[in-house]
Amino acid sequence: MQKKNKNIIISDATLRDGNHAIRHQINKKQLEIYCKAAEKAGIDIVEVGHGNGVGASSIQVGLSNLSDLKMLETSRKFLKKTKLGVHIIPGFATIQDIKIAINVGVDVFRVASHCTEADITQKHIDYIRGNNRKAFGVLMMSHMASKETLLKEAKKMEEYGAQGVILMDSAGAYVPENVSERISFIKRKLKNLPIGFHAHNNLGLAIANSIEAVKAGASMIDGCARGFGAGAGNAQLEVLIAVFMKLGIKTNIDLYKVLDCGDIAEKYLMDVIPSISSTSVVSGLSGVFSGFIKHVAKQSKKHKVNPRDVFFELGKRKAVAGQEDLILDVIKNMKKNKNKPI
Amino acid sequence: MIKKINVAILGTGNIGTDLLFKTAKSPYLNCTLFSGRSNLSPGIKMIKKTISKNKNKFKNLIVSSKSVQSLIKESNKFDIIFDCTSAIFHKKNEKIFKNLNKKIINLTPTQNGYMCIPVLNLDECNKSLELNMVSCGAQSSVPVAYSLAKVFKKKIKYIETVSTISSKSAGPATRLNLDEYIYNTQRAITYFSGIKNAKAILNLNPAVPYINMQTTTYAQIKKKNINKSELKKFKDVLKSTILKMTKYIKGHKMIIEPIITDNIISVKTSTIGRGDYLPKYAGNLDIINCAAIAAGEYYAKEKQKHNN
Repeated sequence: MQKKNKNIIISDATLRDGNHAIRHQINKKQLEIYCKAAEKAGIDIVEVGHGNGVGASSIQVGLSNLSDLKMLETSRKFLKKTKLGVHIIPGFATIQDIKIAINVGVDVFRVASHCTEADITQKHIDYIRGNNRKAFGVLMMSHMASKETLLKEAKKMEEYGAQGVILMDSAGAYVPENVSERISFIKRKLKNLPIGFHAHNNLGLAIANSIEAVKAGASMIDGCARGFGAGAGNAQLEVLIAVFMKLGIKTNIDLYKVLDCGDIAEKYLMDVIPSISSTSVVSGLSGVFSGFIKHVAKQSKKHKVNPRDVFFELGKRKAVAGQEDLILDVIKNMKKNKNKPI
Repeated sequence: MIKKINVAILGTGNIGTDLLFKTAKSPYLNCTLFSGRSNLSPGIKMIKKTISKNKNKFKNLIVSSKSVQSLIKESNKFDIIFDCTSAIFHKKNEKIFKNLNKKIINLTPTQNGYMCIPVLNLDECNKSLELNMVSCGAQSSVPVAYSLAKVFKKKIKYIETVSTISSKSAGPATRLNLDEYIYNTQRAITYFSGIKNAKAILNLNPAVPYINMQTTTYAQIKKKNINKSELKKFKDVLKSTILKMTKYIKGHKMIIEPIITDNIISVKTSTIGRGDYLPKYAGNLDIINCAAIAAGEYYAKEKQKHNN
């Protein structure tokens, strides 16, 4: 359970994960409005950028409306006490991209890899620490690895210099037992390493899983205003703060002001309010990256296949984040096999 | 009767050891020196064991743990050096390589040497003493980028390539050098296609059974309407390019033919390895090794022509 007098750090991914939901088309005005609201609410960290982080604007995942530089410069202007954070996936982003972010004045770098591949983050974490910026490690799609593997990978990140490690439930596949089992195990072995948790709501458990994470010893929790994030969305930030209040879990956040963040996000950021669509449920069940939902929906419609089948097939193939090009491959194979005489 | 050209392999890791097996199958190359830094390296141990079991295998091969020093000592025994060490090591020994005055085929992630994509530029490669094999992603995507540029020329705004490889096939050096992979692959795409705006992405996937290497290459075209004759022409150029590639990398094929979505053309290829020393799913390692062998063999053939 939470240490006395130590508030839970809230990392707000609205302007990064939410970008998935609007095909990475966020604009300057939206960044400005939301950053101001987050600053007022006393959010600890606001993450900004393309859905897959800096350097990830691509045909594969989606081309950004604004360059990384523009997004970060704009947000920097309106964040004072609140820290500006970025997500980085080596393989997409390079140290060149990190240099740009450092020059703009990004405070927090969250360096991510698929949950079994922590060693690709070594150089990047090292570079960030060498430049006196805060670096966290992120293990994405963490439902795909055992607690022992996650411990091993978290340990590597700690050795590289990460000042904390965040487990991401990128597919929204966790049930509360999965969260407590993994986080308490890692926490027992790596007592001094702050652990974070990033939930998705595919199975309607984002808030429940985040509470479970804190109970198991996590000290950093991710949320998104109105749940604005990939697929079914993330742990809804304002709900998270309210529930934490009720449970006596302390944060640095003002309730009314964070409720405003939710209203502002609904009014200015999103096309539709995140909901758990039937494909989101299947994405969670099959353990496939939430960011795939828009791509699967588009391709399934075009090729007249059932998106649910596509998700289960992607799950069988153990697709990782960044493998959006596998979707078409899966659909083509499904169609080919369908036409085969039995 | 073909007289084989002698080669030295520096570095006895996965890449070097697989190359040794490939030279043993080559009608043009003969490996005389296999040199690493430690007698305990799995590659050296394995080769020594193979030789002790069968005296006829790897005849006249010197196995050494004296690294570059053995290159200097045995320098009269070979004409080509395959450098399968690391970027740092390659740079450190630049001078020694130069003084040896041999053909160098550089498989490390440095930018030293003339970039070689066998299906595109073997002829020009003979003019340079040092060749650079770039990266696995470049070996699979650059021929596609080149074919795109050949047909659509200045209409292309941007090229992007995404490779996904099995985690198991990505050794510690690959993992530590992801940035170099990206820079070098992008540089090669720009060099061979003339398109300045290029991006390379690499994914590692740990799925079991291990996945084969897959590469998707995209081009963003300036105008929306790509006419049918251009698309047909592109398909023809691409097919013949890939067919030529299969002469040196047999397991390379197109798995999704060119598709147009709005103003984007995409092509997907997959590469299955030959399974000489490395497992078949490691198509990423095989494609760069097969390309290096193709470059070595071409050099050997040309050298013989001149000698006759």
